[in-house]
Amino acid sequence: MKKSNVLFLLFLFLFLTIFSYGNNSSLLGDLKARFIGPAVTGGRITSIDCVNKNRNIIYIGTAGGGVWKSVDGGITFKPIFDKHVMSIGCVTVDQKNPNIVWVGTGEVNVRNTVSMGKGLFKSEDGGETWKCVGFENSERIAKVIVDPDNSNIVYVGVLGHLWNDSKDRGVYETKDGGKTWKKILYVNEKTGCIDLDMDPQEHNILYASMWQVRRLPYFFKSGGPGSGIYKSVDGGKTWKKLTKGLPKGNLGRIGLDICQNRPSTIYALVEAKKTGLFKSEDCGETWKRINSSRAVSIRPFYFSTVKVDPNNFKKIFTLNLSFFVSENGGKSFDTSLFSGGGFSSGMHPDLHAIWIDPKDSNYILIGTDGGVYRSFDGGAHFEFLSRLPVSQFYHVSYDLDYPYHVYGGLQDNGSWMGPSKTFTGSIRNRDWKNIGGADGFYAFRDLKDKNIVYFSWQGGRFEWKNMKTGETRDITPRPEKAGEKYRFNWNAGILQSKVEPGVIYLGGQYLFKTTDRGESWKRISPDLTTNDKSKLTQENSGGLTPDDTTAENYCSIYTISQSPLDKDILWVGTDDGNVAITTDGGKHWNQVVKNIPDLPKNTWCSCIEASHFDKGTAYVTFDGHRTGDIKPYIYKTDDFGKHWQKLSTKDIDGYCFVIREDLKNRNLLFLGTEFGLYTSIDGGNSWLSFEKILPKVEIRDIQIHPVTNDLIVGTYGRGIVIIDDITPLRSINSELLKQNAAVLPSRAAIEETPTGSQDFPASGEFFGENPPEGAMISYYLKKRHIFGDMFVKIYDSKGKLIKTLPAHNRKGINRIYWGMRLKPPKTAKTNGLSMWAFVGPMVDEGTYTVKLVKNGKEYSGNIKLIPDPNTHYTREDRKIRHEAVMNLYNLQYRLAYISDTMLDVKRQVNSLLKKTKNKDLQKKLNDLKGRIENFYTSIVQTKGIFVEGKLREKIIDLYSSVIGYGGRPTKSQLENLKALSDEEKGKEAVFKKLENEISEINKILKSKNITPLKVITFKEYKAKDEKERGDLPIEIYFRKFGFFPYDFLVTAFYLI
Amino acid sequence: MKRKIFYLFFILLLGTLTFSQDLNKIIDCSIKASGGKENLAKINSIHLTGKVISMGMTLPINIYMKKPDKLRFETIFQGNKIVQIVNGKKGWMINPLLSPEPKEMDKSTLKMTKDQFSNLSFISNFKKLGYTAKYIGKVDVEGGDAYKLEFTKKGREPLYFYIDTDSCIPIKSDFSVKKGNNKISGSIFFSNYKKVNGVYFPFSIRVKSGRMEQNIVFTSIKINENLSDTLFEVKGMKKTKEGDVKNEKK
Repeated sequence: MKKSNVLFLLFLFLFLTIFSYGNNSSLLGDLKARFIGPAVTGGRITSIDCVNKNRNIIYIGTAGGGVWKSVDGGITFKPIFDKHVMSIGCVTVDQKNPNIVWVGTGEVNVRNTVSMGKGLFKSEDGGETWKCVGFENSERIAKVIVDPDNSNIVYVGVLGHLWNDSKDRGVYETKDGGKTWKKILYVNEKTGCIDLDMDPQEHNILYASMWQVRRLPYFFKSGGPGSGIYKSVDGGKTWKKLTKGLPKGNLGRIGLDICQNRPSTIYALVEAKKTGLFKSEDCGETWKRINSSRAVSIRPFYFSTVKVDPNNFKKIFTLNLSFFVSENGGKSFDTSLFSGGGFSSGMHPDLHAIWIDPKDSNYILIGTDGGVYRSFDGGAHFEFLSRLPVSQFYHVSYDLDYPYHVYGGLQDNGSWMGPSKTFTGSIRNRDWKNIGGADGFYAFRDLKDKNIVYFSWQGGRFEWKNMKTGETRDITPRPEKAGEKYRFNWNAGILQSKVEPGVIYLGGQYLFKTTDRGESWKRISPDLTTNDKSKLTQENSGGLTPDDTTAENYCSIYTISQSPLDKDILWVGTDDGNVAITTDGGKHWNQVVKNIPDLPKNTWCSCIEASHFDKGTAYVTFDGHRTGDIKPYIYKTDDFGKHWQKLSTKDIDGYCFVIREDLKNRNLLFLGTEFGLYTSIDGGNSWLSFEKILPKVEIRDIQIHPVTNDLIVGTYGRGIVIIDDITPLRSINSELLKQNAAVLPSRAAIEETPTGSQDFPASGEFFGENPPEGAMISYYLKKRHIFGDMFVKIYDSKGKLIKTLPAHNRKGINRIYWGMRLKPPKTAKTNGLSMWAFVGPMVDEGTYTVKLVKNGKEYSGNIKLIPDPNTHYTREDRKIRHEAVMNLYNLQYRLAYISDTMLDVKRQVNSLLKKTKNKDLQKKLNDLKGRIENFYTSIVQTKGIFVEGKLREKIIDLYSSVIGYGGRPTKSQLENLKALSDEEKGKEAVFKKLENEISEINKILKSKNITPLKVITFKEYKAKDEKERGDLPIEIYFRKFGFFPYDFLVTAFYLI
Repeated sequence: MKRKIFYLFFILLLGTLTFSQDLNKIIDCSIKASGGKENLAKINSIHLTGKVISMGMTLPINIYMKKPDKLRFETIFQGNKIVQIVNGKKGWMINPLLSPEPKEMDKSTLKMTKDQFSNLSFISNFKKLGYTAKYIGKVDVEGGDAYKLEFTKKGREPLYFYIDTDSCIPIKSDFSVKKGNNKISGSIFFSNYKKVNGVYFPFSIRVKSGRMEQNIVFTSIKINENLSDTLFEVKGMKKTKEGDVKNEKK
């Protein structure tokens, strides 16, 4: 081999090494996602497990929001699975070693919009860290059970793929804690495991229920010859299908439970032609039907949980639309005793998961479509744990208020609106308002009437609600001719026009348009779908149990987009894979999907986004997961759909739900997939993942707020997420990326009008995050700054340095916050806290220069401070207020000077008194001391805390009143200011007299060669103050911790 | 052809070795980059002056540390000097805003404070301090590569350091502190390294824990000042009538 070849290979290796270092997602840097909830209404809960010996440790598995853990009995929860896929099939605690927790991903309540999983995970540290231990292709794991005697023996029930065949299904076993797996039960590629149980005494005895189930985009079938109950008595080596006494023919989903204190008794909820509850009293060998009522047969594909009280084998619970209980071994069920069940009880009616404390059967946790409920009295009463923000949004919208509200529809939890920000510290459950019920989809406010909010629910139902009066009106388009039928998707496409205020479009098989708030609808298209009759048999959907809830509706319009540049250009995408465009407001339509390359036929069109920059440009996403195709499909056209360019790249994980083009930068795109949020800064040539900022949650909708430039993200499992101010992203381009550093543009910062509130909610609630306070300053660093000084400096319009801020030093976009305030007022020293003197005045409105100073080199930009848009005060009002605030600010400073200075003199006097024996001098010094003490106590309150009293406290009190209101001070306040200024002048006069007296004494001291008393000047005082005084409200720490919180500070010193 | 494959294999192997640098190499490299074992060992006391900054507001701090376990922490709030002292055996807080008398630290706070402050020059001293180190692997820290090291000790929460692969300088640390049933954890980011007495010190430290972020910026770091032991004693300190505290022997 030639030397040059070796060098080439070496070069290639180095190149690859360097290349692989690059992680472009790091560019997104400090951009931060804030989760605003809501938690007032939950999302679907799929699994609950607790540590049996300590029920305060709770694990909650959710349909789309990952795994949550509480260590305090459910007062607080934290997400512990955010680096992984968010759809959870089951969570299982190893009760022998409770630090070992298993999570099988992929929910098995296989409704039409169910998400998918990516394997089985194990944690050995109580959920702190997780390791994938296989089953990456399984998509759905129903159950994990651990041998109570041996943590290394674990059985896993894999349901597998929902939309296509899969050989991953079946029951698996490990004997080495998950290192290796063996498939021990397999029926066929259409049938997976839906439940698995182990005899609590004989651990070699296993029961598995297998389920043949399949979804198609337009049909659902539960049941088939593969379904059944299987039993093994040799730890899974051999299995026997149990049939005696069970229904003949095809079976569907089967739920199992073994009586813990009588393991020969087993209950099975069996979906069949006649669904029912079956009981075996001989370890499964024979079964008897014991109940066929609604308590055991409602919607079995979705609900199949049966649970036996661990301490009473005759008490049986079934979970479905209600919480049913039987006290007689399943013969009869009741809900009447249990205020926890049913629509009128207050508990969400769709129940999926249950945990009963084995030591105290009165303690019950229930997981529903709307969150977690808890009973301490065996189910007589339930409380809602309103602190799990796992709501599942389909669509989101915003209004133009300040702060703006967000709106959206939730899976099985109606439609809601809430603020993007509050002035009470956080966004709370009480801040959210319900708009409509059922499964919510689109929700948005009327552009003309703030009280009217539109909302849609399943199957194209569309209403508006008057938020002031509460009245609602159904405005769904209905057939106007005999025999005519409209087809609406479960999540029917709706568009509120931004270019024609008052116009709303709604998609069935036709596109409908209203201009009068839904009083009338005009059909503006022919049938734009394939209208394939073979796929329009939804009334037969469900399999063994008919289930036509509009969830499988097909051949309908799913997404609508209108060109922001031309109201007559409308795009429509259908669930059966059509893309149609009109350029004349609906008179003529062109079907253009045939022009799209490499797209499988009939792939569901999930989103169309018409460009803000060119009439002929649009972006389209397709979602093929309903046929087992989980690849991303993204395309762009620049010529009204004649030609298409593929934008999906290997950077993207998961099928696509939504694409949005930025409002200001045509190259900036945002994409939502099954596994998270992406952005492209180069028009779709490459994509950056937000995975370091946002969990891999399903992203269903994205909106860009036109005023705040916030990215509003509707997630299917973690509520609404806001990424504040994407302005910096707009300025990123290849030229900028070449620079070592640059200050990036940010949105104008608002100097908010002060507000106040008080309550004490403690910890038991979800607190949605407000945007950080202060002006956001963003800058770009090509690489991490490590050595030498780097700060951010703020200058006013005259070039005066106002503030120096510590700088973040990461690669990519950095973001820091400037409080926009002067230091708090300097107050005279006392032994009491001055609670109202912690807040400094705001700096003036205007444009400030931002300089990033990195090792002496400056990079400049600016930040604009603007008044609160809600303020009704004139500039003149604000000016008068500012003057009053600054007068009081300066009064406090001056008072602090004369008071502190005299205290300092008093200390010097005390020192002198100890040294001198001269009686005359002693008298003079004692007289001076007495006068200083009188002076001091006439200025400062020296007894107690929070006592209103002397001049200092009066000034602080007025300061707090004036600064606490955004407008002109009251007449009384202005008069009071004058009075206090006069009073202060009086103190200045006394101070002057004392100074003279000190001068006289100093003459004596000098004559005796004693160091004279030093009265520092105001200038010296200010200089010292500048140097040593901070403005951090440290009292917060002292009140909270008692001591200064070294935790953070000193851990940092490990390094030095 | 075989030779080509051999060379390719050889180069890849070399690369693998480069990537899986062992623990000792990384620690040695870090100690060297920080200023070397000798310079680090010479540190007996540190006097830090700076500010804690949170949301743009600042709190001045003045910290004296003397090996092995003496500490004095001072800050000024509304004109009142607040002092915390550990003399190695006991600790006190003097906060005239809360109490006229020095308050003795409870045992757990004292222990925590002592433990943490006794860990000066941690990376070069971890063995002496009873920690075991483990190289976890190369990880991404805010867009750059870093070696992740884990330090464990019985009864303590594990501590993690991230060493910049280019400069061998620590750029991040993850910590957890248990307070009763509460566990506070967070990350510390180090920046603005400058040399003092031959040792690199981060003059800017960012502490992130949940939603809370604090910055600590040092304006001065002095090594081996002659710090008298009386600086770390509560004896001799008294409170004046007006609420200030001074150490008369200082």
